[in-house]
Amino acid sequence: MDLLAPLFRVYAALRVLLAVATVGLNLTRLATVARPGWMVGLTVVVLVWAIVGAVVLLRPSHRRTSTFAVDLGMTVVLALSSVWVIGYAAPPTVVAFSAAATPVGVSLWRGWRWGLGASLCVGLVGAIATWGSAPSTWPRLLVFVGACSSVGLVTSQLRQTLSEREQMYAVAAAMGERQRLARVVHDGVLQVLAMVEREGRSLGPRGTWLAHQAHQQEVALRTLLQDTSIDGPHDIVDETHANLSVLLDRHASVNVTVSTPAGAVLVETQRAREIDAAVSEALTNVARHAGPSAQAWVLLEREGGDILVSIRDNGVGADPQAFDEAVSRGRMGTRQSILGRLRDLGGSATMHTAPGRGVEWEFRVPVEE
Amino acid sequence: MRALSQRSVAEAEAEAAGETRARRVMLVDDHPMWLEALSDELEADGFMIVATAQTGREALTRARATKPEVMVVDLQIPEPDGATCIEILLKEFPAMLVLVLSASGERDDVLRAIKAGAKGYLLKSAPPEELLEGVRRTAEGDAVFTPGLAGLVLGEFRRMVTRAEAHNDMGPALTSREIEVLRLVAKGLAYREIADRLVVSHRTVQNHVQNVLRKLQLHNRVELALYAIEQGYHEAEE
Repeated sequence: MDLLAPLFRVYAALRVLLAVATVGLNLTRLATVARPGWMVGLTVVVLVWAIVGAVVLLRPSHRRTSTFAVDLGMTVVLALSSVWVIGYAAPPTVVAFSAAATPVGVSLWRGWRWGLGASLCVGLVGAIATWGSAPSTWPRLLVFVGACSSVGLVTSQLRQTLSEREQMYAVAAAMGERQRLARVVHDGVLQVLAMVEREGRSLGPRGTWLAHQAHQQEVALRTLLQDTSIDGPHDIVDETHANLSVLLDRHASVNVTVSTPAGAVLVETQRAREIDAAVSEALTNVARHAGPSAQAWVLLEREGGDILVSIRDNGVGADPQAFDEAVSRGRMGTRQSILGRLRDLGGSATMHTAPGRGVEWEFRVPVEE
Repeated sequence: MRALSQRSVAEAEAEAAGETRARRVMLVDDHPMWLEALSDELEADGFMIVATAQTGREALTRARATKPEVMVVDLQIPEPDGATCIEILLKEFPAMLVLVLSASGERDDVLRAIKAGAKGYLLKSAPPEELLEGVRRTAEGDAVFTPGLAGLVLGEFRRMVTRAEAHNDMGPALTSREIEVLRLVAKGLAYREIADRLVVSHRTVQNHVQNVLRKLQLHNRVELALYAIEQGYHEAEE
């Protein structure tokens, strides 16, 4: 992949532009030089050479030491010819502006050190070719060398950034591919687990046990998949909000079914954690008191500015009066604890139960958008 | 051989009973073991498996060729995925009865399939009897809801209502009874239990669920049409 392609396209344009400017400059001073005929001829050579170089260097495979060496050699020869063609000590040389072309190219190609070398070389040759010129023109040499080599500094930096970005893309692509493969593998595992669960039940007690195990793993894997998919929902969305859907999904198990809307249900993190804790408590209570075969269902809804969470089980239930008596005897039951949590959130909780009818909770919590 | 004779017996019985349920079934699942297991069970129950497919492409061509009355589709199949197949096929054959099966329960895909017109959704790990019952009910044109699906659909209606209010137009409205029924389904109550609790007949509960699905699908079409009009309008403006 040619990271420098856009830079070398700009460079090609610059090179031709410098040559055109050189042609202009040389034509205006044609009358003052020693050998005008040669001046015209060499100026044409400068222009053609600039175009050839620009085109050749567009191709990454042509950017080799030999190419730049030839380019540099040509520039040096043309500069030195000034001694004979122009015939007196007046910069610039015959190559004039085009003298910058090779050092800038080298800088782009190999960084500032090589650029510095090339520009020193061209600059010194130019100084020699116009030896004896006025001291006021000397600072030009410094500016020339500095400008040409600093281009290299920028490209070195750019090159590093670009290659780092390339690496990051590669890593991201590899991760995406792994995710895709993982999805395929996971789907296969889910299919087999579901099959074991289905068929196991008809194979006697050991089969039932197997089916139970398979179901647990299936639920665990499915929850994990919904939780960690690369662009899927995450519980913490930013610093301040959490996706309550994902938090509640974690409670899904063999005995607990969690139903949530599609998409994220964003709630302020602290509130989300409190709601989740209250749901946890209700579910712990189901596991403790509802009986071994009890199933529980959690339903999350959003109604206007409120979050509604319902938790129902089909367990043994209880006599509501027993709850109140426990409280009056000074025992803080789960019920009080849940009611307290919900009150602190500015919400409310209601509970219905009867012997043999399970327990049904409904939480309502206001949330601001 | 056994399966065959069993089937013909079941078919004969069905015919004798004058049953009108759809029987020509197509199965779409990329796992051969599932195709086999489901085929056996459904054939034993009197269904006729007219085609099976393991990829979306196969599903499309074979469904067009065999025109099954009932389709049981796994959502996770090679391109195009199950939900897309359902969208395409229900557009071509609106009377087809589709039951969605899925191992991983990707919410958005399930919702997409239901909005496109699928009759119901079951997790693959459901016990065989439940699966069979699901296909039977689908074949009779009834909706098959899990608590998870009810929660999804409830959420979707709430979303659509909020959107409609924002646009100041008539949104898809559920009656309070329909919402009540849907919430009870989501809380894990069986239709029978819901009927007891609301003191209505089992059939009434079934009808409510059916209506909810119909409204969801109808509104999905309206939303799509509105979207298309909006897009066209913008293009015309430019």
